[in-house]
Amino acid sequence: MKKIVFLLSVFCFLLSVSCLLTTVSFTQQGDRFVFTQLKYQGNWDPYPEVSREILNFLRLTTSIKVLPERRVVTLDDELLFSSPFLIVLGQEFFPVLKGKEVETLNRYLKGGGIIFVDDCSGEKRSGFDKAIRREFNRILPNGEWIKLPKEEHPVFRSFYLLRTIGGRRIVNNYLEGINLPGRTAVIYSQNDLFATWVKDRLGNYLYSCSPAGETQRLEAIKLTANIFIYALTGTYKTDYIHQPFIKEKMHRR
Amino acid sequence: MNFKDIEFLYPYKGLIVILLITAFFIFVLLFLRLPKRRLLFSFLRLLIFLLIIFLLFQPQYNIREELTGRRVLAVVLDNSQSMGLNDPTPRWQKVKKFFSQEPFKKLEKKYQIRYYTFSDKLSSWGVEFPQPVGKTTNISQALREINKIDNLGMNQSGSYLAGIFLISDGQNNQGDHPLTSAENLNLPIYALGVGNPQPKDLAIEEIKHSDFAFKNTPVDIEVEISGHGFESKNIPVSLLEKDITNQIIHTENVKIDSQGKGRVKLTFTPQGLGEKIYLVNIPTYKEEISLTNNVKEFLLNIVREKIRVLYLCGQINYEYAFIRNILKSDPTIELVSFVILRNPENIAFVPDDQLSLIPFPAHEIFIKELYNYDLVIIENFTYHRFGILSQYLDNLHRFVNEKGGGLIMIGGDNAFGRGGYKGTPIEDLLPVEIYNPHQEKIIPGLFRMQVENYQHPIMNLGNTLTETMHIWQGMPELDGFNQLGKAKPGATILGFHPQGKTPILAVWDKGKGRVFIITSNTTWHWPLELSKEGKSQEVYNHFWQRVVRWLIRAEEMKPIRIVLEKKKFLEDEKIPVEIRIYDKNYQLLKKTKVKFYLSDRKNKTIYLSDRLQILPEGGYWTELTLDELGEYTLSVEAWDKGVYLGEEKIYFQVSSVGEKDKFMLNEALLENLAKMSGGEYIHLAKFDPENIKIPGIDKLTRIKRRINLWNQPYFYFLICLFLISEWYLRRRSGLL
Repeated sequence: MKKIVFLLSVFCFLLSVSCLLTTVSFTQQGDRFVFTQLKYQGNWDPYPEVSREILNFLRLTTSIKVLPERRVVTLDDELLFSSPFLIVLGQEFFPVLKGKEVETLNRYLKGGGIIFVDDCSGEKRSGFDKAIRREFNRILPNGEWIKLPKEEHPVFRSFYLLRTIGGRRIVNNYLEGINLPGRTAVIYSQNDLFATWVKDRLGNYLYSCSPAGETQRLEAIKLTANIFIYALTGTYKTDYIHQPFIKEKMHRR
Repeated sequence: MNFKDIEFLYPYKGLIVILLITAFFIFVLLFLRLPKRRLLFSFLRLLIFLLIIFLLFQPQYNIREELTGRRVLAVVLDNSQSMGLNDPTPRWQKVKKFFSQEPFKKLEKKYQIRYYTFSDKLSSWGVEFPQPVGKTTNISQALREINKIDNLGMNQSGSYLAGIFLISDGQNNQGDHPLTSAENLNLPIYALGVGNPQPKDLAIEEIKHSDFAFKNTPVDIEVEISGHGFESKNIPVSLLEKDITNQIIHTENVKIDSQGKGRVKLTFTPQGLGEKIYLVNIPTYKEEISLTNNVKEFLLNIVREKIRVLYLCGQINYEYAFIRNILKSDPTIELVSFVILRNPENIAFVPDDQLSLIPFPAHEIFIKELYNYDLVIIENFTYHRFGILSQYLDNLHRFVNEKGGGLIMIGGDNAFGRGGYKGTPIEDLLPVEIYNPHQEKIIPGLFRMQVENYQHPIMNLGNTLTETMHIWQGMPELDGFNQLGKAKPGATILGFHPQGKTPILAVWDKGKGRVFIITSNTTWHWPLELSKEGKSQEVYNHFWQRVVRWLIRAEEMKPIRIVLEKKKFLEDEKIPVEIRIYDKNYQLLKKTKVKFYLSDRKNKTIYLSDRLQILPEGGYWTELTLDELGEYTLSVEAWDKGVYLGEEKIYFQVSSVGEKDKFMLNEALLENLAKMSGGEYIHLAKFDPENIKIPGIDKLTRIKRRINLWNQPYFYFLICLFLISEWYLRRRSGLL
């Protein structure tokens, strides 16, 4: 446990340094990754600072080139379709989306977009959960919520090899998703994944993780990174060439 | 007068019976209910009604006559080429001798004999004794035609065809199975076999293979050998590719069984692409009746099983994800990709065994595996950071330039000059000039690419030019690009930046291969933005699919196509040929200059351009007939408005139907024919006229004349008489 805390502390330090170094912000997107979050009528932004932590982590540990600023979009925003990965956070029940907004999200997903939804309430059958399921039943009427298999789905091996689910509070020991041809277009966590990244001004994690503490946080961080990388590489890690390596590593662990 | 000789021309005879029964019941009812006096009137009316019905069914009367005469026997002689073989003495000599000898002369006295010969069709035998020149043997066709000639059971002279005297070696090689025709014949067939039923010979009877095989994938062919006189012997069967070296690919031994048959499976892995001729051969022995059937050829079209694509991506980004999705969803493409998930400067947050990363197998890819791919995609990839040596780049150059592979380079921070490719063999492959890393700029900002050549196969996304232009004008913007230099001579710019005309899309043919570059790695904007507008993103998928197919010179992207319905024809068979020539817009051209010629293996060339007919919808058509066996090449070269469009070739084979390489007398077939028809099989050498059990003379009846009753005036007179009588009787009875 001490080792994990130590590693995380070192990592926080590096992140802070990197934040200081990232003084120049790119205004042009180009081929850079943009953290795009949906603003809707309701409590859409429970963790306003979380994007910076996640983006810095991705920049330091992977080859992803990121724009440091978060992009907040509404469903009638032109920029929505400039970001193929959309993050939807929430804690509470929210009103029914307008017909045009439902149509927009349908087009977004059909055009190749991927949506990650994180229920930050930490409760089973929360108001947010009910509202999300209601809306996606409208957005993808033929879509079916499925549990993403931990042994097979590329989201659990797109960068880190994962066997468990992380989050602030383990409500479900699985991720759910809706598949479209060739990809999982909607990924849904009910474990308040993003809360595990949130820090106070002194750089300490603000929320504790239960029941497994820091180990659970570590898994949440890795799972978050995997979800982002899945949006950028798709089913890459299911390719035949990776299988022997992944199997051997999983076996070793 | 015999009522059996009355026939009705009207086909629905059941109706007559129904009407007669109805009339009878009506009359019985009237008889029971009506007073006696009125019954007579009703009877007369019934008679009139019956007469009219009778005439409506068009009755006719057959007048027959009895005849006495000799029955007719049709002698049907097989005059195909196999009847002229030496077996060991010439078969035809035996046949001629047979016709001049006593047993046959006896037949001539007993029956009226009609002489026919057949090979592909039946014909009457003239004054001269026929020669064995027919190129095929079609027994079923001959039997059908005999039946047609005498379909009434009697020919014009009144003689009755009583049987068929079939003289053949039974080597049927065309048309339906003879037994099917014999079933419908209703005539006894006396089959006389000519030749040796089991001559000593080794022969390749059949090679079973599919028309195409996949490159680098093992393929099986099955060879059937006949070896009468070689029973229990092991015979080596070899497979060779027919080229300059005629190198043996595979040899397998086959044991000839007690029935004189052997079967062997040969497995081999074809290399290279295109149509290839293979040979199967077996050893020759002096005592064999023929040596020509110890070798047989077959044609195999070697195709790609799948288009193998290697995708190297230097940075995690959406462009990879979107293109990958297209390639993965295409069942004709096999994708192997490597994405650099982590750069050397990135921090390892956890131990390596918790990461799904694999080492980049540079040596395996660029030295061992490269030539197994059809296309390489390099996206935003700096080669020198990942252990790629300059010799690997030499190999990539050879892959395109010498091996005909395709290359795509996609822009980004680490592509083109920025990727360090200036001064490497890759620079030579690119259709545009590139700069040194510090000189080459990434120009940020959204822009709508201007298309330079809408008609290029890659850009031609619509069904018409107008539609294609409409699609590209509505294509969403790209975001940033690598600023490269000008196009090299011979390169084609397909799209450029609206300001400064910097190349965005460019292609060219490099050596045997092709290269495509796109200086922006943000085409993923296209499907998303199109979807936003409610448009189909299919055009985006089509664009990348066309890029891949153009680079590998896929069949559907060729501007000239020669269409043959099959690749193997028989000698003298009609060979329809269609030529389609497409313009850059992939529209069928109607007026082009075409050079069309046929070459054989000896490089003898026949020019056929003047034989081509122009089809109304575009393209050309002609029909060839070749009587010389072997392999041929059809070639087409085309020019449109003075511009050379290219050349296309297609191979095909003309093979024998088997007249000259099948020697065995097929006794089994002749026996079955005779048995099924009620006749008898006899070998020519053992013929005895007593075997023919058909009586020579018989009393026969035949229809001499047919009289139509329905148009005879007597019947109409009778109807009138009944009507008048009925009217007169009524009047006398005071009923009028």
